Amino acid sequence: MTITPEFRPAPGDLEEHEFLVNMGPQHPSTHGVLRVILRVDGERLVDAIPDIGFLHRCFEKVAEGWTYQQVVPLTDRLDYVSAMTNELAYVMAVEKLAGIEVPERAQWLRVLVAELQRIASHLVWFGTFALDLGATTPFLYAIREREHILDLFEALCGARLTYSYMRIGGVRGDLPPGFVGKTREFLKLMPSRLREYENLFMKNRIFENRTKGIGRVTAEEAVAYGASGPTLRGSGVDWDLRRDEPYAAYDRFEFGVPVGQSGDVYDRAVCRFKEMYESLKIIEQVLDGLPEGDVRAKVPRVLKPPAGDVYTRVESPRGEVGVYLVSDGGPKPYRVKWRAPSFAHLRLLPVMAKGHMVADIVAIIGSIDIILGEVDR
Amino acid sequence: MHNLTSLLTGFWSFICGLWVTLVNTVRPPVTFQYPEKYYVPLEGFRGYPALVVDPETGETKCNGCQACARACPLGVIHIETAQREDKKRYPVEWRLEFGRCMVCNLCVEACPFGALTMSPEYEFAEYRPEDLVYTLGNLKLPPEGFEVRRLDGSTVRTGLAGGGRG
Ligand code: SF4
Ligand code: SF4
Repeated sequence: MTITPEFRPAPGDLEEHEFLVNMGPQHPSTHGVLRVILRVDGERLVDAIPDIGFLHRCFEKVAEGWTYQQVVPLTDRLDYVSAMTNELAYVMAVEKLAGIEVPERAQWLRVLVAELQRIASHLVWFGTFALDLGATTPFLYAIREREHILDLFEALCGARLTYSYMRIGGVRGDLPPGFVGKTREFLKLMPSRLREYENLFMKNRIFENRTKGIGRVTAEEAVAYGASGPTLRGSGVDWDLRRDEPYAAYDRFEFGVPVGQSGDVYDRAVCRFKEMYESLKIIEQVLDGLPEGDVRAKVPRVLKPPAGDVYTRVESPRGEVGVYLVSDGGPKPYRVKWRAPSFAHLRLLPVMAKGHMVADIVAIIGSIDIILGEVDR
Repeated sequence: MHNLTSLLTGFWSFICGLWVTLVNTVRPPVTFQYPEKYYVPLEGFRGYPALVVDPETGETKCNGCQACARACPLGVIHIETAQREDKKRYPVEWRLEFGRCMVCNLCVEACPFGALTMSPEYEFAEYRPEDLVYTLGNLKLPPEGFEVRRLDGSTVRTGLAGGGRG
């Protein structure tokens, strides 16, 4: 994007109405390093052009130089708020390519951590979204509850953010002692806390007034722009990969998929929020029926999948994470293409923002829950 | 009439919110006074890759097979070995450029002899970047290990010879 001189008011020309405002790259509500070029007419947004690439770390090129196993910790760094689902998407691609059978228990554990991760990620979203709209308190409460999940993850894999837990052919280790008990405690605590958040924020009149009717996307637009996850479902498209194209062990569980109607900020927020209840249901079912057995299949140390290509996709908290993997038969991937949901959603930003007030852009960015580490890769 | 209901429901939503805040005011704090109190990590916490010491000989179990160095995605492990009289190899230099290490655990899993484990220490601050290159001297874990927590509330010691959760 280049800023052409025509947007600049000529000296002494007081009749010029449109002008450019830079939001970011350093801005508290862009959730990372994102610059949005706003064309405003007074307080109204004429256009909002996202300018990305500040966090580019050459993930796809770096992955070509590493072996299949070594790329797993690298995928943690893409969507760092939801590292588990990234790893899951990647290891599933390698397993499909190499034809590796994953033990049943490992599949269940993958669902368990993916759903815990979804709640943790949505809690971060909830907190920062509220913060963007000017409510400081929900952020502190959400981070407090997220701490329970991070403690579980710390005991499970030794890290609190970049887990490096999934392995090709399974997961790294079995549940540590006390994990199931602590998770059950969390399951008991969380619904009441979610209801508190509802009373505090989601049912608050100021929140409703600031989000209803803002940033509307029709179902056709959402599909056309490749939206997925809560951004798509908020527009009324009933599509969830966990249910419609089950991977790992998702076909064993009963859960609902919250769908919105109008596709505005409010509906997207409510969809995301209700998903936490559904994730709690899945976690409960996993703990009830966790099968015994191995957690990791035997995989050769130097893995050489046959030449070919695969595409796998999983439902991350933000939407559809897709991995396109090409192998030339060697120990290193020939090409890794990462399909990041936030990238597609960011393209919707101009559609959503048009015609709204400058203050609404913050609510709109918050509602699509972008992670810049994933957008720029 | 519509305005009045809207006013009342809006007012009620604020009361609900304030009630939540009030409830949370009387809950005990969850924050931890870190530098004053030492946070005991959970078992399996990944601090940095370190060498397990055999309590009898005071030596590491490493025989310099380089499996960890090959497994490391970033190539931050450098090992030089020598041969003892009994033909066994031992590392004369075991260097970890910790400043670049991403603590991914791949080296620990790669070690076929259980010589590597993750130290649960987490205070790494140094004044000079050179000090973040760890050598054999400061990579050896203390033979008495570290105290770590478990989720069920008990405490155990890790970092002992024979330990090391892959
Ligand atoms: S933890 Fe990972 S990055 Fe660090 S030395 Fe081991 S393999 Fe290399
Ligand atoms: S893999 Fe284990 S035994 Fe081999 S060099 Fe590394 S630490 Fe030593």
